[in-house]
Amino acid sequence: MRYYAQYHESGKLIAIGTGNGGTEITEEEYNRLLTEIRTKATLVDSLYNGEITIDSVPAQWQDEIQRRVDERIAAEGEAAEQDISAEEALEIILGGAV
Amino acid sequence: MSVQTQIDRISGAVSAALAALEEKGVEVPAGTKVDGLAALIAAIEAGGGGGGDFLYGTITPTETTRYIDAPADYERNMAAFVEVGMDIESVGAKCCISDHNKNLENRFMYYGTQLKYTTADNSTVFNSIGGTRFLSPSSDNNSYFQAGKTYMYVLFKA
Repeated sequence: MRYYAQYHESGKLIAIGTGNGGTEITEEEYNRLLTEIRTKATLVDSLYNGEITIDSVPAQWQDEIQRRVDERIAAEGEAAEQDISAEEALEIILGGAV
Repeated sequence: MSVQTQIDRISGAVSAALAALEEKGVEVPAGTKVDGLAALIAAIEAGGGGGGDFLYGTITPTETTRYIDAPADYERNMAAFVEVGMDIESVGAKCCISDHNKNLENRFMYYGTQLKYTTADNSTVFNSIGGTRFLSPSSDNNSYFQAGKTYMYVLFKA
């Protein structure tokens, strides 16, 4: 299996994968990057949803995670402002939740 | 047969082997010599890549993005993406076959066992905007390529 890393022209890592193309990397590097990519994605979700604070994010990742959360807020709005289903709204009105 | 003739014969054979590997979809670094052949051949035997009329592999974006550039050969003019682990038997599975030379035209969506043709205003997940870039048709973040999710792609000739 061939593993690769794909970079933007600026040098920023934008994707990893298997198969042809990109810059070949080892399986170990691929697995390390995959873990890091998924951990960061989870941190972005958690920070966006207010489940954690930025202090819970490793220092070397804080700038990136905060940027991605800010971009998501700009695109989707605050998590608390997300549309809710009619069922959720009814439950709130009737006093079943919150 | 002279030494030079033997050298020419072997050199020609190595060049032919490298060309054949490229036809198989293996990326051959410039300047590869005969001692690099074994590793390149192993890349075929290890699976992945394809060759000839199609190439395949996986791609995992580092950040959620509306578009993604296919990492491999740019001569294929159709592509399919499916999220690894997605149950493609369920309706709405995120899989799209797109003719990436025709922008928003002639796209197919694979739902379960049916291959359906969709029009430009239908809800396909990933479209091509030409070249090797594939784009979600919607500005809805949920339709984008998601950070950390692995997508299998196939690039093939029409």
